[in-house]
Amino acid sequence: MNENDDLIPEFLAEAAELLEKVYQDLTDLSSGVPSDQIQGYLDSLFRNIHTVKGGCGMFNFVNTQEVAHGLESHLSELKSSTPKEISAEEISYIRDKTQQIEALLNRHDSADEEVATAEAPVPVNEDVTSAPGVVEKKTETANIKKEETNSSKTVEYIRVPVNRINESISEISEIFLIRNQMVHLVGKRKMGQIDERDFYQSWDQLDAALRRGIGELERSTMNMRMAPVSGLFSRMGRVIQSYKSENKKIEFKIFGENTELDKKVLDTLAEPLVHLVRNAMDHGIETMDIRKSAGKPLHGTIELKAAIVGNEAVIEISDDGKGIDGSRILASAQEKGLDVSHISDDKAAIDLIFMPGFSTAQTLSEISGRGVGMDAVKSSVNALGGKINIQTQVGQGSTFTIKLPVSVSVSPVVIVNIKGLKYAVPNQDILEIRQTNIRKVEKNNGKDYVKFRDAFIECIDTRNIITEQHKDHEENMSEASFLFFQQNEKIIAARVSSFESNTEIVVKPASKLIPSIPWISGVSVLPTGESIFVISLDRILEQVPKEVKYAC
Amino acid sequence: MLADNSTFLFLTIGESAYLYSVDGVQEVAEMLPVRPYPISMVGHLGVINLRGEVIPVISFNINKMGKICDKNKCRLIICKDEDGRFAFACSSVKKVILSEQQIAEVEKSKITQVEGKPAMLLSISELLNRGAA
Repeated sequence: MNENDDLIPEFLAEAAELLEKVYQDLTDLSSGVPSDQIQGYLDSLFRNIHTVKGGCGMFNFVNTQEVAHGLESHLSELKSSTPKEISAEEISYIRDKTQQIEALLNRHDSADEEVATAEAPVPVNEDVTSAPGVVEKKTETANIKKEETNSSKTVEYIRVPVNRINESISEISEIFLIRNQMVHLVGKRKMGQIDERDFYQSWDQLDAALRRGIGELERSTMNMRMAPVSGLFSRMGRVIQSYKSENKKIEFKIFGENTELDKKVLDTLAEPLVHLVRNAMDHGIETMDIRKSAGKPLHGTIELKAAIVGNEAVIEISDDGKGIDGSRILASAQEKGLDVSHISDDKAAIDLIFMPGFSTAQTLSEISGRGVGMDAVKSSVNALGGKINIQTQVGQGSTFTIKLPVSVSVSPVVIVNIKGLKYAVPNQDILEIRQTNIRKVEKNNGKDYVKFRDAFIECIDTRNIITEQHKDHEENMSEASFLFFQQNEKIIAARVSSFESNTEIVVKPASKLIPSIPWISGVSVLPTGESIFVISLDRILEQVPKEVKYAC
Repeated sequence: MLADNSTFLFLTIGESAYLYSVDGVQEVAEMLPVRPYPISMVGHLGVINLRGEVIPVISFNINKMGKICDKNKCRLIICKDEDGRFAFACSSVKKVILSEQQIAEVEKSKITQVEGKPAMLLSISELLNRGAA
């Protein structure tokens, strides 16, 4: 155990930021910068790689330090030559070396300590590791020798701007002062120095100030966890830049990269996004021949967009490729013997790609065929309390839209009663709630329908899924209570026993020791002190057996 | 050896008596309202709100709370293992210090006599894996 080992996670976070700057500089250079600015960029590249190298030395990351040293020397020579332009080949070399450093550092960051210290080869394309114009030993495909690290894998670090911390400290000071005033007020009341009416009036004012202060503290504290999506988007850019195909050319555009999301959401989102981007490159964008014959630009385009809409972050990944053919998906599902009897339209057929193990790819691709299915993408998004849907048009392209809560903090919810027990449903999952006379529920062909915005909507009945009930529970036989929600493009009505209230709760993940129920998305405590389960309507819909799905 | 010390919780669940090592016990709490799961789960009663933390309550078949538990006497044993905290209810509980002979018996056969009753040794893994006892 090295005395510096506690600092390793902090160094890895800092190194990741420095490498991010290197990638950004390389992106700028490849886009073309004025010749009088090139030296500045080279200085910046050199400085950042030098700092990473220094850290590697401090923590005894011998091989990473060696690769960084090689790149640093190369950059030093390049700087000395005061070039007026930097070739694409040169940029590619620096980028590949940087990726090699990043890969080595990621192994130290890995949760699997054995991987972090194993003598595992780092995959590096030999063709691009040779520096332009430099004869280099091909042994650069370095093996990681056992580098002694005992970094604490459980400690996570986030870098927070000081002004955000100061904001929270300021809120804490205010809350402390209000608390003092409350103590003083209670003391006055006990001493009979203030009458009851004045006491309650002052108390209410302080209570309101306290609530406001706590709300602000919550906001500023959660802000500390927020980070822009730019780093994540930049990573997607590297995924695209590393895609090498003679038949395809892909342009990458990003919008809204300053949109901020909870760091945990960003970390979890990385893998699904990589998968979607790889899918777009591999299966979405056509070859140049096909695009030419279809009258499309030879370059395919992949766009990543982020924006905050209401209380949700919306991330879109779109391509102008061949789109997804619903009939082909359906045929493939039938070939695989999947039950497609419930598929009634093209949209539902396309959603089959989210089924576990579903894939229409004829051959597993080196790029996207890595055994991570779209079902895993959907699961990751759902686990964050989000939703994913697809809009696609054959020949025009596809757009995957991911909607996520901005932070994993306080959530407004509707408290519903199902068989005498309370459950919380996040407001963001609900289009509308409505209580209606039971006679307005229409029956047709074994299904129940209720009117919503002039259209009859199919119903599911949560009371058929939830088996436990309160011993004193009596159903209201004259009124029916519905939560209207949207799954993809379809609106569905979920019947509950009754509505209780609206409130705000802090949704927490359920303990590992709580038995897994797929449609329970979290737990919380109501202001009354009651424990409550938070339910996901989307996931309830997936669990409902078909025979009872639509019987309200 | 079972543990370095000889201190155990001697608890009764229904008519049965058990010994439970104090090592995994965080606290003994008064009975709290148990919120049942939406669907019945073998070996589980539901969850409780323990000062803002929602933790599961393990069930025993013989421990039908409400039937055997007098709310004033019934207690929750709050335990912790690597996956988090959990609780189980018992009709009564007290701390006992076992003699060397009792410890030897428990090590050999997982049962010994305490206050004239046969008391079986319970372990966290048994509690979590067995579900209903």
